[in-house]
Amino acid sequence: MKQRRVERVERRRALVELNLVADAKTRSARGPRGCGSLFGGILIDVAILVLAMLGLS
Amino acid sequence: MRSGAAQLPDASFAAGKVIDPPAVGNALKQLLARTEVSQTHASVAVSDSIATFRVLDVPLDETDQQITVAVAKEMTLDPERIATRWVTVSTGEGRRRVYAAAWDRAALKACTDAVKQAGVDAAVVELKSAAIARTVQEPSCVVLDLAANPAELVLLDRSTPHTWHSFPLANGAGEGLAETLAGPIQSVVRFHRRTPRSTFREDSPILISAEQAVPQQALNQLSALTGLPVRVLGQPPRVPPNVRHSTYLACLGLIMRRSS
Repeated sequence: MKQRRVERVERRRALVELNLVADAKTRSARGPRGCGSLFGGILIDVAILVLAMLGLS
Repeated sequence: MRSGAAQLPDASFAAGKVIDPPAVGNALKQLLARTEVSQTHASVAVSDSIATFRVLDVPLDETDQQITVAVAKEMTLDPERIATRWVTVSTGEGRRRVYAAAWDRAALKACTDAVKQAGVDAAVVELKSAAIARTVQEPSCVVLDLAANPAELVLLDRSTPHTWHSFPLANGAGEGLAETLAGPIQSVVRFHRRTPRSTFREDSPILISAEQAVPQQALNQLSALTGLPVRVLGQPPRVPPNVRHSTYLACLGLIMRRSS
């Protein structure tokens, strides 16, 4: 018996992701890229350090 | 995960703006060395004081070009001095929700120059409010940062920053705190509730991030004055005490980005 396909529901919240230093060509939001990209190219500890310095005091 | 924080030299940084990029860069370089961080790419959250932002709901069939025109009309700013960019946040019910930001080019350059001076490339730079919005579970709320000087608040609706506001706290977190906070919060909330498609409700909370303990009495008073529930964001475990809570949240928000 053929199983009915389960429809995927996007449960993730729609979030703002605007990079002020991104190329202007990437103006429209791209779709989510999954968890694999969560840490890709982003260095967590540097983020924390930079933020602590620049920010936000 | 390593983390750290440091004081900046006097007069190198004020009210969210980098005044002296080499001085800030050198301090950052020393901090990186001290915490043994050797990576050369970074995500950076910058103060909302260098920018302004708007959320627009536009018909789904509007072209990108039409949206760019609408954003320019909404933010009538000098394009020589101010850069503008927008992104689509969501689509639904025949509308497209757009978040547009405009920022001072020179102020942003001062931030990126400081990072560069430290030998680090800023791959992502975003506003602190956008980073914090990603970390908060409540879709509609006011996040209040009492550790910042001046104090800052951001109103989120559908997990999107709508309004950012800063105001001085004359007595720190002492006498009359509830009264001091109620004014700015009420005006921001009232203004937002009048906007079309606002989903900010009477049970949307005020979330407070503070370095010092806020007395329960002040929280109760603030709730009574604003008519909104008030909660203090708990200090996360395993974060060094010198890393402020709102700084921690902003960093977490940077890490939670789905795109680079």
